[in-house]
Amino acid sequence: MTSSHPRHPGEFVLTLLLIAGTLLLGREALRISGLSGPSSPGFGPLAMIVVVLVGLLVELLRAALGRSGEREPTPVRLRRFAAAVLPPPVLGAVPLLILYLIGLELLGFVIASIVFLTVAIGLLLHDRPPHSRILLAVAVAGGTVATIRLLFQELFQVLLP
Amino acid sequence: MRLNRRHLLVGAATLGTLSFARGGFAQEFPARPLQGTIQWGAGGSTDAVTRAVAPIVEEKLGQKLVLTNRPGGTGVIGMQYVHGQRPDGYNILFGAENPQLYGVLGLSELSYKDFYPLVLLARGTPVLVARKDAPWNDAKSLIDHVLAHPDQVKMGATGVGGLPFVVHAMLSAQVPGFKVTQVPFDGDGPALTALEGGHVDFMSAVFGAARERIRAGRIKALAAISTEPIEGLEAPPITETLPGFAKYLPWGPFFGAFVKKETPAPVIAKLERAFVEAANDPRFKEFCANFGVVPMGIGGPEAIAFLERWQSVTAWLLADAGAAKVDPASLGIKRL
Amino acid sequence: MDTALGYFLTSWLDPDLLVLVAVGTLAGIYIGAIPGLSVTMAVSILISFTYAWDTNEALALMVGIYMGGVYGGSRTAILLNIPGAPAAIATALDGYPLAQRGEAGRAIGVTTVVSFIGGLVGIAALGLAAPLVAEVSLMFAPRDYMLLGILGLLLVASLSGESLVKGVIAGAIGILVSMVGLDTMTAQPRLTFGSTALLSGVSYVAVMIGMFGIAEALVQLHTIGSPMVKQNVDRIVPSLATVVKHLPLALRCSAIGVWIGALPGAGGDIAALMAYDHAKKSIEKPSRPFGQGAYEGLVAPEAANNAAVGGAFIPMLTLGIPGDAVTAVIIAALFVHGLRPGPNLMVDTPHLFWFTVGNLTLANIFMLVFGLTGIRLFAKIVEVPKAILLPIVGVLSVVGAYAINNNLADVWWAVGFGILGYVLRVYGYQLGPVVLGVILGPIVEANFRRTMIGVHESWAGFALELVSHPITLVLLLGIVSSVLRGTPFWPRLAAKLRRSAGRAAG
Repeated sequence: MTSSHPRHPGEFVLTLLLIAGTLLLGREALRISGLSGPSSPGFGPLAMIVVVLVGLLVELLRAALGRSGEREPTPVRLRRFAAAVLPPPVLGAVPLLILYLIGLELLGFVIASIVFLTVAIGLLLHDRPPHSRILLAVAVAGGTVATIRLLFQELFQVLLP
Repeated sequence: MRLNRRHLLVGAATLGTLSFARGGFAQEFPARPLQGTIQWGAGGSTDAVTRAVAPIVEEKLGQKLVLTNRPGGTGVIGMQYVHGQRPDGYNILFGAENPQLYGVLGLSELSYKDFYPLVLLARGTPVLVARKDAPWNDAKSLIDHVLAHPDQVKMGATGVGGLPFVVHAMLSAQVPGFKVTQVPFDGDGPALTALEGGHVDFMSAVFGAARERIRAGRIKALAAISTEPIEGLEAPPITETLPGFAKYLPWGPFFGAFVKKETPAPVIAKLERAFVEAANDPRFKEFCANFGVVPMGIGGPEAIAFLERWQSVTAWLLADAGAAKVDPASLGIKRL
Repeated sequence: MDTALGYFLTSWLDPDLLVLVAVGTLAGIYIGAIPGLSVTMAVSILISFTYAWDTNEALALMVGIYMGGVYGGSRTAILLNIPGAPAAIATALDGYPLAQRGEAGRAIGVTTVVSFIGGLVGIAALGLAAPLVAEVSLMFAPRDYMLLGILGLLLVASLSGESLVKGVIAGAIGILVSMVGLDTMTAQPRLTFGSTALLSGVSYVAVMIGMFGIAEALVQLHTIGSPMVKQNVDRIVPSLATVVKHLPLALRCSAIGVWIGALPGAGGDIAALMAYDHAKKSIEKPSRPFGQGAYEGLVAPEAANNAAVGGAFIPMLTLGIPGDAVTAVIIAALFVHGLRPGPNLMVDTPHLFWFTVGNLTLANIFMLVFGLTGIRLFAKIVEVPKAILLPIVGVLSVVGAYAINNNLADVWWAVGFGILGYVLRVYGYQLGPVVLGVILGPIVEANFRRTMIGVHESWAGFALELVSHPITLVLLLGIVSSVLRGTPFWPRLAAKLRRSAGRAAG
């Protein structure tokens, strides 16, 4: 229970964000009608929100105490934040994943997955010569999608998006 | 038989391949496999009834019927899915009674009004059951006990709008002062298990779910919620004790197959014929007898009349019990 | 007894049935291994598929799939950190770190052998003590399920990582997630922000796929450039010494598995988590610290979840009450095949009991055989360069999430929880407690509410309930001792107790 664990860059802000999110959830929980007694539907959600809030406040305090030490210049702190939380591959992967999901709805499973896999593998294999990496990416993408399709749709009769 | 088994994997593989073959303009409906959407999850009664009738429907239609469970939100999710598909007859909804209450419970705007009933497959009859060491052997002694000890008796339930809830609403409407503590469980299976373990005192459940436990003497039946005695049950119909029940009956959960209302008439006609034939097939009737449900096998106008009557009875019972969030009158549901 | 043996051996002697059990077990292993494909779903599809078959043949196939599927979930949990099924969540906690150390082959080997042992214990309990266990399981009242759930939630303390507070926050977030959707008791929407899509709640398999699969893939992107771990595939089948060393733990956890599997309201996923907790509390010197690749952390859940299979059949075959979701579907299948599952099943169709026990035993043996073959190939998966493996994990997660309910919304949830899980992990929150909360939250909440309704909302009545039955008392003592152990006074208290005990003895 001591504050000996490592402090993460941006933790104070994250905790604030989590608190804001929890408060929003709390407002929604209060809308559940019927807080007449412990068995009413709103009791559990509110109780859990209180637990989360108390916990987050403790963490906020801890993060604030940690912050009050030496303050580095903003660029340094931003760079540290990026290295710890959002290194380039992650920064690229998250939007790509979301685009993939949108593609699933618009283009269907086969096309969206082949494109996603090709782009993702192609980007991640940046240390290889271009032609071999594109070839490899396309081959893996095609193979994977074919296997999944065969396994799910043909063998187990599971629909794909 | 032997053939079937050898074709186990081959069959599963070809099954899917068929779904590729999208017939452009279907001269002969159905040109490709049908998609069946089950409103409830695997292992539930709707799932079992659907999967029992599906092979017979496939036989009658000469086409595959691929079943998918889309459970959630008391069946709203599955219903919305089918409602969102094109009305070409290739998407069939397999559902239970719940959509008829979506309106009054404020769950969805949809109901079976937006669909055409190809067939009502079967319906269940509720029975009133009590734990085996309870001091009552019939409905009358239960009612007397509850009236003498209001709120002391624990009733197993399955949530607002569930079968025990509605039967309780009937009881309270017929017997002023019938007050019990309703303990809701996740379905009639868990509730009956709690009854068997003595954690609740009585409840109502569909006969099929309770029958084997009654037969083995692990719980006891007090009455059938019907006007006539039911086969295989010694307990008398509830109307012998409370004649006023007659106006609600027959009442109980039911299962059916539906397509969107906008589906072309020739397609509906073809589907309806196949589904009604399948529902009247001796094999399905045998399943019904075994599963403890009453085969219905009606489609079209007859089914629509049943659906409307059911909705009216139940919606107004809920409204009178104070459980309706939306006034049935405002939804155009007439009181019978 | 002769007839029982005859029924037991039915499938062993009939080549057709033997093949069906084998095919089922093999298919089950893969269905279990692929996240999103569940045994429940597979068995349900088989109801129509086996419609025209003989009951025995349908059952042989289903039992095989069930046994194989429960085991199969461990595969992807160890190799990719995506539990193939909820029962394998606890397996991922130490299994994946083992794969990261290059011991994926050994991990799968140990898993297979202890799964086999667990399966045998479950089958033995089913064959020898079914009626007794079934009656005891019926005595569990809502309050007892609640206490059981709380006992499981205490595991948060040991899964918290760097800070207990963060563990508690994570667990509470998981419970909150489980509360989203239509309240089954009152038909009231909770935490849905007015959206219909949220009425059915958030699928916990989607949460699991997101928090384990996608979040892990994102974390792995940090070290994309680092070389892959070379997998050591020399000694895959664990030595007799290893098995003997872990046998006591495996047997204890199998007992937990049987017991929880037999409870109608709890299945292999909870059994595995409880067993993991038990291992953590009872093993003083694990092969490595828990969470970093302790074999004990692998042995415990895997023995328990396979023992839960036999356990789940106990109430099903004796009383017609499903022990979990899969046995519920098998009950429906029996109806379709003209049988009447219920308390009289053993009277009406006496062969069914020993026939099923025989099939389970057979499936367990096939599981061992299939499980131990091909491990080398599987272990190599971890050697695939991350640049290729991680995008594939992404696609598999998406497909798996979609397959749960054939719903794209679940895919969005999986990805959403994947990103949230990534952020939480980077900031030192562990994801184990979130998933624990999602699974156990509903058990605790629903049964708490049932208990409260039963005592007319009175806290005094509630307290009285907690001491009203021996089972309840045992569970309560378990919770109290578990909490005490976590406090700083425990060592002192234990020392004092030992001293006074020593004095009494001397």
